[in-house]
Amino acid sequence: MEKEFIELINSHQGILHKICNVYFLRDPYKEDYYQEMLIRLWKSYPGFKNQSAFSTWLYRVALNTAIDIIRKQSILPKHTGLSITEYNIAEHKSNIESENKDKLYLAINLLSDIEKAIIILYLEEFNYREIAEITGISENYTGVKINRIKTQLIKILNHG
Amino acid sequence: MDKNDLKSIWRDAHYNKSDSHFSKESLEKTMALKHSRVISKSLLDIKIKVLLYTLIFLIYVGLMIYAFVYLRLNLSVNSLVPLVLAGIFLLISATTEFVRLLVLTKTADNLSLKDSSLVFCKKLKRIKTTDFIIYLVIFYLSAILIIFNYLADIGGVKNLSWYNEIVPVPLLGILILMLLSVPWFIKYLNNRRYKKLFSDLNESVHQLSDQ
Repeated sequence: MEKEFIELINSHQGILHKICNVYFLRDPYKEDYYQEMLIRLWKSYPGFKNQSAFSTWLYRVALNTAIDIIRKQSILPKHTGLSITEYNIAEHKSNIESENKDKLYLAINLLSDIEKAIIILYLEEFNYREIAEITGISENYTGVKINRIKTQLIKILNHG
Repeated sequence: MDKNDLKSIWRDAHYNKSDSHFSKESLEKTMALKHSRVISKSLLDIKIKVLLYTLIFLIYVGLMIYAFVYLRLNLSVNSLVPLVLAGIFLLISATTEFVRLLVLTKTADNLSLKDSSLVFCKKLKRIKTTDFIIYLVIFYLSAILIIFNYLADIGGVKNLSWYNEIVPVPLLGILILMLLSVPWFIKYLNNRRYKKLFSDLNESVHQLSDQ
């Protein structure tokens, strides 16, 4: 099971980077949270029953983890000076190079945690049924919700 | 820029970007951990507090049993009050941190975002209610015990009089009132402490509802 999980994670690592960039864009603990996502994915892996695609399951767990970390910040004791991880993770440079990408990330950063999740799934080309499955919104309402978020994003991008 | 540009910007931004890969060893190392470094550090701090308060509380209870049961120490009500207050403080400190640890370690990652929020909200409410009921039982029983002991000391209710018994021991009255109000005070503190968490959870559920 371990070997299978490692292979699957290695082929889907980009997803985790994207989620981390969206939820913890300028957070000094971004790498720690990336690692926390991996740990919780591994803990949840026995619950993956192949009923959905691996990427759908991965998004569900990783988004839940990211949102959970942010929610619990209010009751966590604060720590400083722990941003450098001890673990042997290859350093991943910020790949926010283009101005447009930078703008898009900053605009997404202004959305609520749930809106962020929905828009990532939309941008990652998930269909309404899959988005509904991951988020728990009804399939019919998914389109309405996405449209509202897109309007909001465009407004932010065009007016700053 | 219009709505259709969003996907193309996203696609261009991530096209052909190969993110760094974990080596098999570092992935195995990570998988063996319970939490990431920063979260482990926070949880460890809370665990140390729980252990410390529990240890001091147990020593305190041991000393009280030794003094009052073994040595049969007989203190006046006024001398007992600070001792009881110290015990209350230690008990509250230990349980408050324990509840925080419970809340921080509860997760429901395999569910949809909406179900996960609902389940977590339910778990949080259950933890808060259980905490309140435990306090209610402990402190109301303590208050009843103190009243019974006091009445036994003065020879029963028939000997109780306003001027001779109640006025001279105002501290006893204050202590009883404090014991009765502790569970409600804790409930208020918990509501304040978890207010943001609850409002975030409710906001998530609201946003994921069909409205």
